[in-house]
Amino acid sequence: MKREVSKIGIFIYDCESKLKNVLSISEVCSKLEGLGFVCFESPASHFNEAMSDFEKYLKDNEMLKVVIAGCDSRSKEQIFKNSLKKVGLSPYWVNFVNLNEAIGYKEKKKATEKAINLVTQAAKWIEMQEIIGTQKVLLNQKVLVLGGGIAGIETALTLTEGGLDVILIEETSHLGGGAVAVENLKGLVKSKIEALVNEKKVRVINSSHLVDLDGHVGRFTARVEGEQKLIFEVGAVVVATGNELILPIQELDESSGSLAIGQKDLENRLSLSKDVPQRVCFLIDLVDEDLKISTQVLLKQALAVKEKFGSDVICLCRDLKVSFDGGEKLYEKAQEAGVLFFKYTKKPKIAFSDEIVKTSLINEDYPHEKLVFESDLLVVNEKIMPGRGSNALAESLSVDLDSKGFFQSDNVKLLPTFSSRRGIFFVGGCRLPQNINETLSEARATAAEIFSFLSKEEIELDLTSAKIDSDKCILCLTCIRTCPHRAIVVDQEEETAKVIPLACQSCGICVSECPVVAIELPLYTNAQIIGQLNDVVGEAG
Amino acid sequence: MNSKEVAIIGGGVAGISAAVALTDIGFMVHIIERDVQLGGHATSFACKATDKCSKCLVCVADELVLKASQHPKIRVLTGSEVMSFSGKPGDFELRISQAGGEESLFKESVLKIGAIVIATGFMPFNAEEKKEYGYGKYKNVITASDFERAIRANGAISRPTDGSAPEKITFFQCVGSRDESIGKGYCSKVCCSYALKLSKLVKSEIPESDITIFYMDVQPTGKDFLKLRESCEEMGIKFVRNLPSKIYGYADSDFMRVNNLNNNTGEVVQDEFDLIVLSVGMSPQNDVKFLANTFKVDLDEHNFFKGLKQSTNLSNTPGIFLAGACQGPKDIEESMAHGRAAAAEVVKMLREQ
Amino acid sequence: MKRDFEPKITAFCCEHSGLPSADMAVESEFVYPEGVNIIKIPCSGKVEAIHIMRALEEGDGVAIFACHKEACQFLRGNLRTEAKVTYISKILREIGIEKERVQMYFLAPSNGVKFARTLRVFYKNLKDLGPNAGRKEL
Repeated sequence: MKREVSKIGIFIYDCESKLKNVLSISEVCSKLEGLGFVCFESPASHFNEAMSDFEKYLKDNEMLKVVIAGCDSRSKEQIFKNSLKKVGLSPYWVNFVNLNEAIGYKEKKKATEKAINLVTQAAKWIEMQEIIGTQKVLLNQKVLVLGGGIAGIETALTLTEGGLDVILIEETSHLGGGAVAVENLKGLVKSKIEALVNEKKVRVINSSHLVDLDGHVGRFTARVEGEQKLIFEVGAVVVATGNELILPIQELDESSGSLAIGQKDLENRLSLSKDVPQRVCFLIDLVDEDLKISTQVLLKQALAVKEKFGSDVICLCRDLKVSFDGGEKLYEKAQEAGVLFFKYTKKPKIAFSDEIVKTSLINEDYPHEKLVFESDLLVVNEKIMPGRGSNALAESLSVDLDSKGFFQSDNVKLLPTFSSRRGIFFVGGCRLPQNINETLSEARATAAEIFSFLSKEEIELDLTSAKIDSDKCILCLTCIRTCPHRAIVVDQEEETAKVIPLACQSCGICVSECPVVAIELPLYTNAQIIGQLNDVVGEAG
Repeated sequence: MNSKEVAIIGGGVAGISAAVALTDIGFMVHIIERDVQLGGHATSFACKATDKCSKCLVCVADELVLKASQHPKIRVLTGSEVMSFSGKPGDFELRISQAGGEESLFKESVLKIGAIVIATGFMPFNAEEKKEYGYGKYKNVITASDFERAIRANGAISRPTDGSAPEKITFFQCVGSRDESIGKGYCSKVCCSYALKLSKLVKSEIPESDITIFYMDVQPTGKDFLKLRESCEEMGIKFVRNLPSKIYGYADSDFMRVNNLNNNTGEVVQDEFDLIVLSVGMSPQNDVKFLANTFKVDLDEHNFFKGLKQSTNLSNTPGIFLAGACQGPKDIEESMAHGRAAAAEVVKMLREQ
Repeated sequence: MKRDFEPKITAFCCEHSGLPSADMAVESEFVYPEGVNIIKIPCSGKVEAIHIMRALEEGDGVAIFACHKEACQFLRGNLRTEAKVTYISKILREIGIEKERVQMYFLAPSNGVKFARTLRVFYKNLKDLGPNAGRKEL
């Protein structure tokens, strides 16, 4: 094997003599020198010393590629990469070996052999490492926000505060979404809408919706239809389309008529200062019992009804979900005001007759008895459903919905607001029904996330993304189908599949799925991986 | 003017989320961390996956901490604390002291920064305050934090008395939460979620174990919580609505006795367990009053930092921002969002300067 | 002869779970058998059938350490690998190699204990199986 002897250095450091006690570093070094590498034994005795020693080593020696071996986890590699960058070397030409692996061997001879093996493997890997090129990428610094509810508005406003332009598309004829109808949010929503319409960096387009999204992060093309057909070039897309409330009719009786209303209806009545009858029964958790928002609304409304109209107020729920800021206090306040609470496990029975609702349940707390409440009005929580257009929108965005039909696929790494595609985000009720503070926080968090990659007009990208050999590609589309990030497209002119470097997250799934071995992942090539499989100690003789 | 530099007090999930977001935007960030290492509580917690991920986000927190510790534009000052501060928004001076390594001398330094983010997190409720539960007295009474740490460190689900697998396990919810009698009249938001996930983990590791959760109300968090609760019930985990008032220990036994009111009959039922996990809530950090005084920032009635109504990331002092559980109980997901949101608020303020 | 047999294991470790767990195992001295060759991969989904087959030419068993379901950094890499392992076990059966020699495990990045324990069990199982008939002669 031909080796550029002087160009690959091996830098070994010990950790409080941990290595010296179990293996022979000099033997490791001499063996590697024998294989044609230049070995350097750092006098450093722990990581921080090794770091400064390493920087000195880089200055003193003209190395192209380096293997660093020490008693640390591989995560330390990144820190060494930073030093390589500092002195102007490619950070990709370094490979870290965790010698703790060898320390676990009981015999000194075996531990030394293992260390030789590990370092040689790492050297082989880095020897095969090719140059990682760079590419200048222009970014469109506009952001498309879908949805003019509070989530969309707050995201848009925050984006402008960071200097980005925003196009906000709203399906209906007005801004504000569901929060407009909520008594204690009206003021906040109104001021936000005002700020938005006065903001020069935002263009609001009402009564319109997205029909198609093409391209990728930094360079999306969005087709919008409504009163007019429009096309926009944007760098990122925020989905904030909210959700829909549906009265759980199937849980109630068909004869309920106007005796049973949803929390939203009650909110409207309260804000219009309409009268509320003498006996009001709130019954929640018939549906969506795992959403705390219904309890939050319940407490607020029960208290309002009690205080405004002096009604007899009874609240029935499966669980009193007070896990929101000020929840427990609100509960106490309602109790003090004379609102009564009962919990159930088995769903209560509801009967409607002669303008009266009878609700019967088995009380959970002691005494465990059957209770029957008569009331003039029954208020239930609506079922919160994904927005009506979610399916179609998900399709045009090429993103997945979760098992309930809300945005965001079921994956922990996407939380809180990421999608499977770079540059597309989900905020607020369209991904998870939530309260105002949570929504505002998510909106700002997403804006911050967008600043982090769109605050520059042009970036230099390291090409660590997958590479497709156009000569080998048979355009079977397997890679396009299997790429979880939608980072591969068809290049019609060249008749090949093509990776979009900015959208690619370098997972290598396409590489392993390609039937004609036309794809390589530059930092983990097939040759590099296969090179690790055989026993190098045997080879070295 | 050092408005391109920000100090973050506290290197937990929220502080780190803010830090990473700020550096990505182009700021230089100093994290002032009291502990010897970054990460806060989340990095001592255990992965709670069973047949699939439980969405506890501990691995997400781990990766975030790793990212921050490797970041060239994040300067981590471990073993350091705030001493005093002066200046105006966009132009603050923060005096800190840092433990100076082996001689354990303290070294003082001054940071010139444009904004400060308080992200000091929480303290798990000190279970010894609930004397009737005998934490510290009975070995097999542990807190959920103890349990998480043990599972993470050695993968073992065992009872402390003899290290063997527990047979009858129970979780007591709301220890240090929703309890006005000890000044904790708030819900800690996270305990139901972690208790259900931990109980599911225990049940799948030790299928023959008998698990009971004593609770007041189940508090949901995150996506698809109902599925989690139902899967617990399907596995045979029992939910009992009532909190036992006391734990009684026996001499020379791994088991303890618990008295509890049966809601059906009104009778007091006795039950025995060999591992009792106290689902401790979130309490404010012990130095919040000092920080509140130093930065002239208001605390709420429970001693969490008080966020403004329009944004819980804003404190009453311009230039001082809040992130994470120091502003009120939050899970990992919410802390990450809150941390990033704080970064957006910093950007806004410094732009307006 | 069989008693002296030391199985050689190739462990493909996803950088988001298996690799940090391996680091944690060696750092905390959670012992796992000697003769384990750890290979880093960016996602378990990067492991190809050919890598597994080549690894079986060089050793006695292959372990793939992936992230838990619904926790894959790249969404579905772990599921693809699971399907691939099922497919490979069929091939192995056809060519007369025990399918138990290829195993896939799901881990968190902080599962050092489980990493070591899993490998100990795997090692023991391989020892019971005996040397891999498909292994290249040295």
